[in-house]
Amino acid sequence: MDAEVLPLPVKRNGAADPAIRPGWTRSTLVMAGLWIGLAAVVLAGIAIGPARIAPLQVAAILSERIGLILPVEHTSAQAAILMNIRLPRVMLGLLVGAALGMGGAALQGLFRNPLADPGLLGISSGAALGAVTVIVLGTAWLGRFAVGMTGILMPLAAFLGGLAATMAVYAISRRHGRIERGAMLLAGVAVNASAGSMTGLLVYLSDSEQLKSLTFWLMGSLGGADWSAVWAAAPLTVLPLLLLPRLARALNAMLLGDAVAGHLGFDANRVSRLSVVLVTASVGAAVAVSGVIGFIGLVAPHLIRLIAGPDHRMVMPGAALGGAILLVGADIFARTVAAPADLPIGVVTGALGGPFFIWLLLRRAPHGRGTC
Amino acid sequence: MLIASVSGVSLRLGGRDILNGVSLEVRAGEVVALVGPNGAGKSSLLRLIAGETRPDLGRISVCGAPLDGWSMAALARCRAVVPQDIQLDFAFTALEVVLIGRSPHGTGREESRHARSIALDCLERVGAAHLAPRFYPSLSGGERQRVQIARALAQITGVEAPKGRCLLLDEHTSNLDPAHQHGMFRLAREVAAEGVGVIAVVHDLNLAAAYGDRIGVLDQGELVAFGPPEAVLTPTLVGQVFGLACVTLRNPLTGSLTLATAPLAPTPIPQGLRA
Amino acid sequence: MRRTVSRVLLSVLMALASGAAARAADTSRLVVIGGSLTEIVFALGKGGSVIGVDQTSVWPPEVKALPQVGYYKKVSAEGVLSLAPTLVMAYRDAEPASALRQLEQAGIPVVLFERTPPLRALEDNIGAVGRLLGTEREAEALRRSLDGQIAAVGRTVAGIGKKPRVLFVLNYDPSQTVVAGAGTIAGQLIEMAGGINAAGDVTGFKPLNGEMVTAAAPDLVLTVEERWEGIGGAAGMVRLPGMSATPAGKSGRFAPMPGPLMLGLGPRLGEALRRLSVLFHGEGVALHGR
Repeated sequence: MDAEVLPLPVKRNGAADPAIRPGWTRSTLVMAGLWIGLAAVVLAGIAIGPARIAPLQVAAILSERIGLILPVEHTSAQAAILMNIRLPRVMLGLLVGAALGMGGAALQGLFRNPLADPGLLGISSGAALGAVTVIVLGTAWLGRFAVGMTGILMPLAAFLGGLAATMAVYAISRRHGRIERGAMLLAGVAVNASAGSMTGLLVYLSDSEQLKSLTFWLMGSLGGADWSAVWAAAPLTVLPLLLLPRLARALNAMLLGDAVAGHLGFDANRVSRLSVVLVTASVGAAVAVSGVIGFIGLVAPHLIRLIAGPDHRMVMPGAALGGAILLVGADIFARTVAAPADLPIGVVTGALGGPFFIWLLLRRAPHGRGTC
Repeated sequence: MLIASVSGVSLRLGGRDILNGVSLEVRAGEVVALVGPNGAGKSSLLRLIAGETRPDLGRISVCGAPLDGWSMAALARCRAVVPQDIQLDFAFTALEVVLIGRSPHGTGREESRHARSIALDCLERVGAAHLAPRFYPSLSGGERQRVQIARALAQITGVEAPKGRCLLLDEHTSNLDPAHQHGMFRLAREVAAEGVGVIAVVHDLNLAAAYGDRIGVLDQGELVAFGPPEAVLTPTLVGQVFGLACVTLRNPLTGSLTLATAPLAPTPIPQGLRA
Repeated sequence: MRRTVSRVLLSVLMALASGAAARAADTSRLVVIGGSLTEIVFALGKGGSVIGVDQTSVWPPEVKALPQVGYYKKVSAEGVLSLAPTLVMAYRDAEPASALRQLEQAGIPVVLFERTPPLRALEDNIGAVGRLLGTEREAEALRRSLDGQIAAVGRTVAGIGKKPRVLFVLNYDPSQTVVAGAGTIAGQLIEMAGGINAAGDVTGFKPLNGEMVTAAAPDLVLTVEERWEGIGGAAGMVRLPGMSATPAGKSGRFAPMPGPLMLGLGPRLGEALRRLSVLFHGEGVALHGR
C-alpha cells in the first residue's frame, strides 16, 4: 500500500512493476522528513527564546547533563532557563501537539469527515467549563486554600469536565449498544452548546480578577509548563499515541462504511468506542494542562493527507508528528514575537492556521488530495 | 460442497415482516441470482447471509459453519460482499481501495508481497487496471462500482479456504453500461468456476436468466420459487410477482433463456385527462 | 488532605522565608508586576531600580519606556529572566503560579503582595515595599500623607447634606453598559468621596440594561478616560441605552477619570478622592475641606 502508484497497466503475467523500489517509498520519505522536522523544531525551541543563550552555550548546558563538560561559559541562570523553563515547555508542546494531531486524525477517520476536530466530542468545551468553574467558584467553595490548590485543581477539573462532556455525547449517541455516528455529531453540537452556555453564565458571575484568569486560560498557553505539568500530562497523552495507530487499518476500512468494515472483519462499534476513549484521554489531558488550543487537530492531519494520502497508517503517526512540529513552532513564535511578553498560543495557531487553510482550499485540485 | 445454507429464516424490522420462512442453498461453483420486486427482501436476505444482521428465526450457515460460530475476522477471509452503494470522500486511489480488500489477511510478509499483485490482477479482471492510479472520488459511478467488485474479489483471491469461498453481490451492475453488465456477470461465472459460491441480487431478469445457475424469486418476504431459470421464470410467476406480461424466448446469440416483457394491462387514462 | 495542609504550610513558610531573604536581597534590578505596585516603588523614589514592568503599569509616564513582561495573568518566566532582574515584585494573583515558581527556581526571589482588603492592603504594601527597598522613612511619609488626604476628604464629605448619585461606567464594549457595583474599587471610591453608588444594588462589574440605567438615576456618570474618545465623548455616553432619561443624561454631566485611578488603589488614592469630591460637590467644598 505504500509504494508509489504506477501509471502503467500491469500485464496479467505479473510483469515487472516499475514503481516498487525497495526501501525508499514515499511514505518512508515523509516519515523521515517529519522526524527530522521534529528534531529541528525541538532544537530551535530549546535554543530560541527571549533570554539570550548562544548555541554553544546551549550545547554546553545540555552536555553537562550527560557528564560532558565543554569549555563554554554560561551562567546558572541560563542553565535554569534552559532546563527548567524551555525544555519542559518544548516537551509539553510535543505532547499536546501530538495528542491534538493524532486525535484529530482519528476523529476525522471515525466521522468520515475531513473537517472533524477533537472539539466535536465536547472535550474542549467541557474542559473549559471545568476550568472556569474552578476559577469562578473555587474561592467560594475552598476559601483561601483555593489559591494554593489551583495548581492541581484546575487541570483536574478541566480533565474531568472534558471527560464528562464526552461521556454525555457518547451516552446520547448510543442505541442498542451501537454508536450512531450521525447522532454523535449532533450530540456534540448540543453538549458544546450547553457547556458553552454554562461557561458563559460563570463568566457573567465572575469578578474582574477571575475574568482575566479565565480569559487567558480559554486562549490556550504553554506558558504554565514546568516539569510537573509534563509528568502529569505524559501518561495520558503517550499511551493513546501508542495505541491509536493500531486502529489504523480498521479506520481505513471504516471509511468505506461500517457495513463494509464488518464484511472485512472489523468490529466498527468496538473501534469507535476505543477511538473515542483514547482520543478523549489524550486530548483531555492536553487541554487540561494547556487550555484550549485550536486548529492543530484540524490542520495537522490535513497536511499529512495532502502530502501522503489518506491512509490512516500514515496519517495517524504523521499527524502526531506534524501536530507536535506545528505547536512547538507556533510556541517559539508566541514567545519571541512580543518578547519578553508571551502571546496566547491559541491566538497564534488561529492567526497562522486560518489563512493557511484558506490557501490550501484555494489550491485544491478537483477530487484530488487537496480537500481530503 | 455447500457454500451457504439458509433454513427457515425470518426477519422482522420496524414492525414489518421483511423475510418469512426463507430456505435455500448455494453450492460451490454455482451462481444464484435473487430477483424480486422492490421491497421483496432481496438485499435483506443478502445482508443476513453476509452476517451483517442476525435473523429472528431460522439458521444460516456460510462456508461450512453456522454464522454464529464465525468470528468477523475469520469469516472475512472467505466471504466478500459488494454492497449496493459506497460513499467515499477521501482521496484514496482505486488501487488503494482494492488493497483495503486485503485487510482481513493481515500484515505478514507473505501478504505484503502478494497483496499488490493480487490487487492489480483483480482490477484487470474487472477491466479497470487503467484506473489504478486515479483517485476514487474522481471516478464515475460505473467505474467506482467495478473498483468495488475488484475489492471484493481481492478479498477472496489467493486464499486457502478449504470450506469454500462466498461472494455476495448486491446489484453490483446497477451503474454499469450493458457491455460492462455482461462483463461483470461473466466475471461472476468465472469466479464461480473457480469454486466460489456466488449469490447476486439483480433486477434485470434477463441477466439473471442468462448467468444464473439457479434463480430465487422473492416476493413480500417469501421465497416463491427457487430453481433453474427455465423452471422459475414462467409467464405465470412473472405475472404474479412482477405484474408483467412476459413471453419466454431463446436468445439467438447465446441460447440462454430470454424474457420479453410488457406491463400486464395498460392502465386506463382517466376520462377527464385524455387529450 | 494532609498533602493540602502541608502544601499550605509550605507556601506560608516559603513566603516568610522569601520575605526574610528579600529583606536582605539585592534590590538593584527590579521587575514589578502590578500597576499600583509600580506606582508605590516610584513614589518611594526607587523608580531608577525598575528594569521591567507588566502591562498594567502605566504610571508614572516614564514607565512606558521600560521593557514589558506581559500581562500579570500571563507572566512569562523566561521573559522576566531575560531582563536579568535581582528581584521580582508581584501581587499574589499573578499567574501562572508555575512561572513564579520557575523564577524562584532560577534563583530570583519573588516577593508577593496582597490586594485585599483594598485599603488595608495598600497601606500594608506601602510599608512592606518601604522595608524591602530600604526606604522606610519615605514609606512612612507616604502613608501619613495618604491618611491625611483620605481624612481631609472624609471631613469634607461628612458635612454634605445631599449626596449625589454617581454611576461608574466601564465603557470598553459599546454594546453593553458595564457598571461598577458594590464591592468594586470604583464603587468604594465613589462612597469615600461622598457620593452614592447608583449601581450599589449589583455586585461587581455587571452589564446593566437600559431600564435599570434609567432607574439608577445617576446625577453624574464617570467613565474611563482612556476610552473617552473611543466612545464618542459626552455625546456618545448620552446615547447609551436608558442614559438620556437620567439626570446626568439630561444635564450632560459626564466625566472621564484615568483608568488606573478608578480601577485600582495606589498611592495616588488621595488625588483620586480629591478629584472625585470636586466633581461631586464643586470646587468650593473641596477647598473648604483643606
